[in-house]
Amino acid sequence: MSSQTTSGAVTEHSEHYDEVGTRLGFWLFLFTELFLFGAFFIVYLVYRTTYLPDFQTASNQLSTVIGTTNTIILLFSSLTVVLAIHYMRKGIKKMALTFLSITILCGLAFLVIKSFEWGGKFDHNLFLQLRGNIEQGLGSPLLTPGSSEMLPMGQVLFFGLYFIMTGTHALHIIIGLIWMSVLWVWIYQGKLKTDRAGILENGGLYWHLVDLIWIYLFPLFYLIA
Amino acid sequence: MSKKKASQATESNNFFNQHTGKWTTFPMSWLTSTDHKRIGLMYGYSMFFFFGLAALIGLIIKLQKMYPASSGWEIIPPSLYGSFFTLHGVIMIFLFILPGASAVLGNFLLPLQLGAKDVAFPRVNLLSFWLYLGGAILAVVGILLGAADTGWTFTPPYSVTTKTISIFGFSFDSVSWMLVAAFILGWGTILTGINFIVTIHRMRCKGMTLFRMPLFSWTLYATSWIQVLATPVVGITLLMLAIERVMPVGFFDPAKGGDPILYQHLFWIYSHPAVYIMILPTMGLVSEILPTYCQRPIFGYKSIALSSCALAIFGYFIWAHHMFTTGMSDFANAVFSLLTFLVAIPTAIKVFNWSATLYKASISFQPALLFAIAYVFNFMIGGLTGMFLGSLSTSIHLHDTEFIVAHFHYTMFGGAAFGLIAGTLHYFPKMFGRIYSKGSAYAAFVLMFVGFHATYVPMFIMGMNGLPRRYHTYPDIPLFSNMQFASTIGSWILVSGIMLLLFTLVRGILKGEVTTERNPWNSSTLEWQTATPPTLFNFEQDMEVTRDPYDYPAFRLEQKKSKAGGKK
Amino acid sequence: MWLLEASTFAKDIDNTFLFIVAVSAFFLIAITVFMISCIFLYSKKRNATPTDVHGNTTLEIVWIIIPVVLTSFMFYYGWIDYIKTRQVPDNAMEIKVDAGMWWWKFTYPNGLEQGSDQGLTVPVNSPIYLPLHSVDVVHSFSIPAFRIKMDVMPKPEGAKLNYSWFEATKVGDFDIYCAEYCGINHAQMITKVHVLPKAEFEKWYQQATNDLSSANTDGGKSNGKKLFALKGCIGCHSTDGTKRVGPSLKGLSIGSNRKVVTAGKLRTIQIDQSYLEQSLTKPNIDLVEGFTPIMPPQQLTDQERQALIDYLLSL
Repeated sequence: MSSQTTSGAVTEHSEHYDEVGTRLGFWLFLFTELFLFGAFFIVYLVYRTTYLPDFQTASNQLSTVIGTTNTIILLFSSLTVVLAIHYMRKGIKKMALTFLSITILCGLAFLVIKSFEWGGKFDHNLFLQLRGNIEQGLGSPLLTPGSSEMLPMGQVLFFGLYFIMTGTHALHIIIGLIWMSVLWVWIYQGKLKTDRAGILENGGLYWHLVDLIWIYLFPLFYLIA
Repeated sequence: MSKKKASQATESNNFFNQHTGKWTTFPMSWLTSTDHKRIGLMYGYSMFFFFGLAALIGLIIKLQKMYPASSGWEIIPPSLYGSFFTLHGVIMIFLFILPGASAVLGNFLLPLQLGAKDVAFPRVNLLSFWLYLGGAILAVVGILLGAADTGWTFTPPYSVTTKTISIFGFSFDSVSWMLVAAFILGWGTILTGINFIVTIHRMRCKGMTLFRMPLFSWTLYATSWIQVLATPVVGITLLMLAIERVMPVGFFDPAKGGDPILYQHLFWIYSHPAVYIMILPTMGLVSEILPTYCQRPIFGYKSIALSSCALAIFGYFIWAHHMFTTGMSDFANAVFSLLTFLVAIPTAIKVFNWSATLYKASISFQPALLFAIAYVFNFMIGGLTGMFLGSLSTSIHLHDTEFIVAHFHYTMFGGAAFGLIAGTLHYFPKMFGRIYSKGSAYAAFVLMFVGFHATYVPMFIMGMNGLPRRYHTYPDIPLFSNMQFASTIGSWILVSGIMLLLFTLVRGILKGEVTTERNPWNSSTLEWQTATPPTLFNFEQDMEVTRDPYDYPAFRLEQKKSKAGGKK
Repeated sequence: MWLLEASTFAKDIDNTFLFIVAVSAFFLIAITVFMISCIFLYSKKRNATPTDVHGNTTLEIVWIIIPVVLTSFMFYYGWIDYIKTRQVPDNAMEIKVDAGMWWWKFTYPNGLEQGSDQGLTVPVNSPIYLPLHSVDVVHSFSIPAFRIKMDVMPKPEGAKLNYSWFEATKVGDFDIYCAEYCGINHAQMITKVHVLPKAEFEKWYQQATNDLSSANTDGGKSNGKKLFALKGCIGCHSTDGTKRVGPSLKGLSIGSNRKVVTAGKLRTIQIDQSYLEQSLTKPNIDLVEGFTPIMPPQQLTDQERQALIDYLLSL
């Protein structure tokens, strides 16, 4: 079955690039991401069913304007990343770089707006307090069990889910931003050429996934009232 | 290591001696290697280390139960007992048997079996290993500093409220560390799964159709799908639990509005399929070992291959049989009981096919074959005792008793671990270019086999009599104290067997007789056609496959031809 | 099995068990004997040339059908036994079960409460219905001799509780275990079910009802020893000097010295009334040296508190 032909000493892996394989692997990765958020959505739906009125009251405290703005920004950035890929395939480096820059800026804008929104919630003592502090009675009365001012359990769960789900989503945005910045530099330096446009395409796919998840998060948290 | 290098350099280009620098750079040449064979071996070294460690912890747990506490016997105090069985469970499950055969032998063999140069994404593969190592260190350090005592299942609300003891006097949240460690380990698993799926779809050599793949590759394929689709769910669930421990939300704590049963659902949706991650690759290994030593085609190749996929799929729909006593609706209980029995079918197919493979064979006896036969035997007991846990009424009686612990060890230790050992012994010459001592492997087998049954059969009996698991001590009645005593003695025999086995392997790696024979067991599959140990890129030329993997009649013809060709 | 069959379910469940044992033993022995004889018969020495059988479709189908049929029976028997354990007869006596780390409490229809030290007392041959409630983590209520087991879940107020029921068929004492890991003292969360002949039970129950209604015993609420069990103290503290999760309460007396940790600092204090009260209501402020701060604060009326303190000082 095999013969004894000895090749020369090979010290490094030969350049192996399989675009179909890479895309297949990447799609599988996207699936795992969907499942990851899927677990969140299951938990969300279970508690929403149990505590629907609380969820609606809590949802009213989130600003629909901010949520809508962020949705529009992300949708727009999805368009620009598609344009960037399009120009990359055509080999028009300058246009590709421009649209990639716009995408990155959109992502940053999203994060800035999000951080203002989160900050507002912190000021109202709604989250990110340590359990230990609460147990010692040092935390916000809104979250202290037994306190007369404590929010109804359903609202605590709503804000808990809100922070952990949008937080995980924001983390994905950050990863996406880092990724696209690296790609930007590679394209700029000429390391990434038209024949490897698939790599940029995977970055774009990831960005679409992040958008897609937001499309689900937005109505679940902002629009249920 | 440099001496070893010289002695192994008989085929100048093997994957061991790709390092030419100073000894200081030697560890890095392994830790930064993207070669699937090196990564496989690194998994192997770390996993068998953790295996030995957790076995010793298991020994202490058994020793604690040698006599009832009412007789004044106490090896570890109740406050530490919880940490000991958690440590044992977490290490054995997350660090040893879950990566298991798919990490060690899967990495080493998959590209060899497919005739490929490496896996599809070698760098991602290295990242997987780093994640594994990082997660492992985090878990071990976490539990050593903080003594988490939740068991490996982290069932809330206990896992939310338990205050772990700090050994060094500072507040240390060991449980959260463990949860984060499990999350990181999970990502390692996911990436390996993706890597293997793409490898199998894209890297098969010329002529290797899906139904010409060796059965170990088939099981890896099924396993990878479970890894990719199930792990994210548990990852995020454990993360939510960790967040719940540090922040005042109550996702799973009823005192804060959460639902602990929801956690159990999310946990078992992953953790039931996860037992197939543990057992499937070893089923593949046995399917490689049996035809090789029998020198005949495996009985029912296609049904074995497809039953692996069936197990992977059915595995998703039976998670709630872990929850028959949680108060689910009767309808749900009935459905999950019925679905659980579905698993019996592909499992039975495999066992019947394996035993039929022995029929009219020409068997040469080797330690690997002995372990494989023991695997089938132990796994049968594990599987058949699983019937008691599928049937609703008996399951409820046996739930959370020592019976479950024994059943689990029969499938995971007597099954998966014996299979992994069988595979390691089978592929030992190919991996290291050395031969281990057969005598000492047989001795280790006898000790392990006798010790294994002596340890776990008494636990079946205690469980039938209702003794719950995770008990620090037990009521002082003769049945329990006699059985516990027998089980403890058994554990001594078992652990001495494990230690002898590990010693045999280490000695074989360091001082075993050097061999360069390509195909010592005369196997028909592709991985034996390469050099021993394999060269860096596995094969000297692009491979092409023209027959089924276990087509021994055709294989014998090939051998005759090449001998005749050699004479000319 | 050696285990007594002491409830109406036990016999059926054991029969199902034996059926599965028989099937399992048959296959285990048959396949093992087949494998071992193959190894001897077809060793390389005896059989140098193997016969190349690739498979056999008929056989494959046969050994798909065999497990399907057998497991269908297993499922069916398991299901019909199980459904009996879920359908509570209307005439069942309701005894509420509360569980906590690490104690049991049984509340009878007449208001009588029994703790882990006394156990659950029931009449033979009458159905008993047990709603199960946990005050902290998940426990599991298990009586192996009756073949019943059900998780005791912590649930919010008003939620549907898990339940179990049984009808004992034998007079005697049987173990009740907690089967779900619930922390350090999990293995000590054991109590007994006492099955009495009907007449004897009626007498006992009537006596308890009379005691409860008579004014001077105050429903047993001021009985410190009883409170010690009902409030769960018994789960962590011994009264005979044995060290458990919490310090033993033997020899506790006003005026004696005790080493405690207050806000991380070790100091010696003299035991007085106020220290004892604080130890019940805010137990983790002055922590006895060498123990972890895990005791939950106790909700007690003044009267109950005094009764407990009196009892503790009497030890």
